[in-house]
Amino acid sequence: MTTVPVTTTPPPAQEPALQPRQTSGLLKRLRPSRLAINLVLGAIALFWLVPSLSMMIISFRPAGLFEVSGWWKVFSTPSQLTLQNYKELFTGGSSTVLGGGVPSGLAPGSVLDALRTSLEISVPATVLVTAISSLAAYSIVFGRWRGRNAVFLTVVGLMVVPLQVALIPVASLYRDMGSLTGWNPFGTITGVVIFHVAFGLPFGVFLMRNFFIGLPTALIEAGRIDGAGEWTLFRRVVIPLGIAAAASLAIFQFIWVWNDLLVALVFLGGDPHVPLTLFLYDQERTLAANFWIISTGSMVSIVVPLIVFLAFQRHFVRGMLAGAVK
Amino acid sequence: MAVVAVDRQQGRAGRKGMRHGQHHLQSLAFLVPGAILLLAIVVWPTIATVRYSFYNGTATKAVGLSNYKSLFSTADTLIAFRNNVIWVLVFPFIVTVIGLVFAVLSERIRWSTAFKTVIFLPIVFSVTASSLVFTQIFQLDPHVGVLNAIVQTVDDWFSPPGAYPLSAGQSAASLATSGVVVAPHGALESSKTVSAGGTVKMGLTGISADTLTVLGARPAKVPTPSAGTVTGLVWRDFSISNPSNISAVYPDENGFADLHLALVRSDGSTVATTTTDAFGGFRFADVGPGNFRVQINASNFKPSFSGTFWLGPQSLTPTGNLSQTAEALLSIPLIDISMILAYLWIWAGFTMVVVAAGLAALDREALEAAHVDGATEWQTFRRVTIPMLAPVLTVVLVTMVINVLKIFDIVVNLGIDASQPGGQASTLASDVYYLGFGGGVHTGLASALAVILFVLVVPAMLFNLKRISGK
Amino acid sequence: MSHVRASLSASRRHKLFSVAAFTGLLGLAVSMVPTSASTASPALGHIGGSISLWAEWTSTEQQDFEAVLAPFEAETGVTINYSGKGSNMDTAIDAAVAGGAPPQVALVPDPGTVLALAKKGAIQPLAPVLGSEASNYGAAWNKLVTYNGKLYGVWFKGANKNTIWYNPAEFALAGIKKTPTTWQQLLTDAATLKRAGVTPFSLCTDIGWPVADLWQNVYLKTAGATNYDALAAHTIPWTGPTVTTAFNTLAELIGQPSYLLGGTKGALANNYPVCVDKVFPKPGTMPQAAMVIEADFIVSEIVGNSSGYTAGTAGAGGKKCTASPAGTPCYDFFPFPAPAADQKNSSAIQGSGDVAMLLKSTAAAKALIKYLGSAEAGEIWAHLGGFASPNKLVPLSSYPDPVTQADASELQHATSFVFSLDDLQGSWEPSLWQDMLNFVKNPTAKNIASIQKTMQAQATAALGH
Repeated sequence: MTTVPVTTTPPPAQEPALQPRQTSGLLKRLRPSRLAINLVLGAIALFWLVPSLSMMIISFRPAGLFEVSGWWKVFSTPSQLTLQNYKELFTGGSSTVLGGGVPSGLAPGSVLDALRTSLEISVPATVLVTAISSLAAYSIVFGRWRGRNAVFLTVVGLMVVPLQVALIPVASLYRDMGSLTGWNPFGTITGVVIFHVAFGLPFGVFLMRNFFIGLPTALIEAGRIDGAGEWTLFRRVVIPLGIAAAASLAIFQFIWVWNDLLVALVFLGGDPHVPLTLFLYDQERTLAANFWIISTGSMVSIVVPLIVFLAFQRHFVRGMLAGAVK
Repeated sequence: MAVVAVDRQQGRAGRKGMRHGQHHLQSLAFLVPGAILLLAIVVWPTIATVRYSFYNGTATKAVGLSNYKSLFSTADTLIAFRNNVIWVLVFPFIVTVIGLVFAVLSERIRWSTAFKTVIFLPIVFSVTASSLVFTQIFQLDPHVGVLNAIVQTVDDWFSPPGAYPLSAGQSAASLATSGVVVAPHGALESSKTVSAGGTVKMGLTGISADTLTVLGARPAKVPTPSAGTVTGLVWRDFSISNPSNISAVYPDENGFADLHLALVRSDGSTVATTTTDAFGGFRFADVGPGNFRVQINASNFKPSFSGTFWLGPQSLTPTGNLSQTAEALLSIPLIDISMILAYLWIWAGFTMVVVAAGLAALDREALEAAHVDGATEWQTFRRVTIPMLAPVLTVVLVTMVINVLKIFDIVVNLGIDASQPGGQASTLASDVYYLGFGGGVHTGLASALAVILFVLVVPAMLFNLKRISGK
Repeated sequence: MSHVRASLSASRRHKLFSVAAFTGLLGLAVSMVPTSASTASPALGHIGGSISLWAEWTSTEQQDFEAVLAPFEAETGVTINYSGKGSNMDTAIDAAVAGGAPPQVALVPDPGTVLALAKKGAIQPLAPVLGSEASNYGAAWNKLVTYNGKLYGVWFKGANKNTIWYNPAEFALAGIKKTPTTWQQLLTDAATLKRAGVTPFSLCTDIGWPVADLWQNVYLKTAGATNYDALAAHTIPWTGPTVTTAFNTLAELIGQPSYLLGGTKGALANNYPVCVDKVFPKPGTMPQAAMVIEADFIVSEIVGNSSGYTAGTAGAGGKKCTASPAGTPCYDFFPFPAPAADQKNSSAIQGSGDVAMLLKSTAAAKALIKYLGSAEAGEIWAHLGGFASPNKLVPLSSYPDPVTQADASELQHATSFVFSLDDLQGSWEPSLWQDMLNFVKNPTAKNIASIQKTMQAQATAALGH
């Protein structure tokens, strides 16, 4: 996911995310045919649900039926629905007969292991990006050192750097670290997390800076006059005020990292412990008749981001809008 | 009092003065972790990549511009460039328009929250999972792929398939085996003419025994001729016991049931029509004088729609007589369009929400004023709303351009093999990955491609900087 | 541009050589596996320590491979940390070497990877390790992994691409009682099948590698192994007459859309391994075509996709093969036939395999290499099925059914063995596959001439000669 945040002001914190905006009387008058619009949008919404729905149904149909008949047959024969795929995905079972199986439990290559790996990558990457960005943004907004604006603009510039540009040198950097210190982050979750944190920083700093700049400087000055240290000010004054912005950043970052494929592919490709995206990618490439693993695994992979999104919808959308809106 | 006050002020000033430098250092220290990471993992590697791009495949020898030269001279890279161009030209514009339309329309329904959630949801899923959903939607077999199933249903509705559909690649002419020749309009007809009281035998092959059995076929039997009647037999002229003998009717050969036949004059006009019985026999009663042929309608063999290969490399532009380079540059493979459709499903929610937020922040007075001036809704929309939204739309457009310049996840997941270097779906970003890490690594080429990718996003970087520093 | 697809295809081709089904379905228990005590094994003695070992095998193939490793671990006391990399094997090894954390021993499905790593100095020469074991393999096999005169790989697993698999029940529907032994007879049988309403071939095309394999079979049979090696090394041009002949010969089949399931369009969308399932479908579903031209690794797909398939035309318990849901479906193969005029080439075989290499020269790693090159290691997997060993010392009686035996015997009796030509082409292999698909799209003489010119240009650009 990429955003090009372009504004300097975050939307007001109380603004509802996907709720309808207060429409003026004027827009309400713009209704050539209310019924027609309702019907058209209804059809579009249904249409938009088809892909997700089909994946869900496939995951609940017997694996052997995938190549035989379409998922929509389930509407005429609801008895097809079964939990078998989920059972086999989590327990291993006789899946091998279906062409290409997965190990059971938490063994490397299993779906639970992938779920755990996804969490092991996403949670630290999220926490670190939020923390480091907040610190840096504080420094840029409330610090008194020269060149803060230049640093900020550099960060803005870095926001669009394609991460492809850094993959090869970072891989060799990790290797050099390995030969110098004996600890090689290549092929480790830490290596992936470091990469994600670095590439999450420009947006994080940008978002937090835009929020902090809206805070009254007087508050900080007053604190300084009262003799509070910067760390205290950061913790006691700025963070409590900026918690909403930090939440937006965290949610956004979490979902981004959770859904990443490329970084995991490069730094963990071929490793037995892989995150869910890579698990699905690998499954697709075995090219055995294993769409049942793919559909069921996809369902598993979207559960966490779905919960996070539904619980923190407002924050996520705000993070995303962080810049696209004035 | 005054003294105390002064003292206190001095004290404050003193403390402040004393701590001033400390504040500097402390706040500067806050920058350190971020700065280290950005320098080590973003800035330095970017510079290193530029350097690698002038080195050979193992980064051991400087080779000047040769990586760039070879990139611009191989069809593989040209295909990747072409695909990036297709993505950049097609996707951002369409997704922005869709977002705008959805945002505007959803302001007028009561359930806009639900609508927006439904449209927005795919963004939350990984592109990997979403792509896999679409591999299944795009399946070629209409029994499995919903898109082809829809096309098939519509097609069958307008022109139903025949009882004996030809398999793909099979022509009706290839069915003619004994006593049958090809007639105009894809029909088959008896090779000999026949008159009242006569009999014709027409042998067909190429249709499986199962197909006949399912339709209730019985062993072939020639009906007994009778005066004033044209009789005959259409049968499956293939005997397992005598696979190479044709034209004789064996006991293990079945008749074609329910075949639509016509009795035609030499000028092609139809005299009578009939259908065959379970034994393959037919009769045209009350036939007048003259010579006729028996025609088997082409509709008997019409195949059902067999599916479009949505993820296939077939080009939408004619490329038949082009050189390899021209073909690489000028073809528009269907898989690109299919991937763009899937990507629209993913990203329309983003553009919709951003545009909706922009819409909500619009200056209502200007809109009201336009209305007061008697502008129609469409005029208001075009002349007032759109220009006022222009900054937001530009931002959305630029965001999407950057997004598709780096397009990777959907390409490698939906284009599995077509995303390999030289494949019809490959892009710059996928080539960087495969060349950098996909086996048989060539660091130099991969780095050169990454540099090109970087150069392409520089305009967007400047756009951002200009907007932000301008504020 | 690298072996990207080479590795993808090669590993895919091997990955599906899964023994899963054999073990599971034929009920061959691991207990059949000879233990190290009962079979002569290279005297390794106690070593101890641990080794990291990578190969592509995951899931049940991994279990079988671990059964191979068990006697080694027992005897030497070495703990093997095995990691199955699936289709990522070549990528993983490249990345690991680049990342500085390679395993000690690895098996790769692509001799190109071995040569590339040998060139980089990332792997060790094996002659001092293997000693006489090196001669258990034919010269053709060893030549493929020799760099600068030194042997760098030991072939553990082989694959036979000289096979055409057919559904005997479909042949019966057309009254065909004998499998063809010449190319001409194959075409006649295809015509007969077509007349019986049976589509002769489910032509696997995927991204082109199955067509390349097929074309290479035709080239080997029409031009012979000497020309084949010359073309693989590009010492004869792609525009030459032998290449034209091979294309024209194959066009006799490809040029008949009605012989191909789904016609030309359907063939071009026929991905592996679904193309196999169409000839050997799940019980209760009718086969859609009679033959599939593929290597021996598709057996795992046949028995893995649908339970109840029996190896060989005799069927289980002498029951006749039948396609009906109630009967016994079965599968069999016949060797890829040479044209009547080129019968001298009928025992020349195209194949591939998994080759072990030594990345770190420790005592345990060297012992493991030696063990993988022994007959004992091969025999264990041979017993489990779905495996053919290039090792001459592995006896035919180790294989579990007549089809696998016939397959392994073909490998052993080959007058000459050639590795897949496409896998030896380095960076232009993906282009070669595209050219093959282009040929399927339009197999006319004019297009063949233009494809040949294109291929010659691509080969020259990529190989520098």
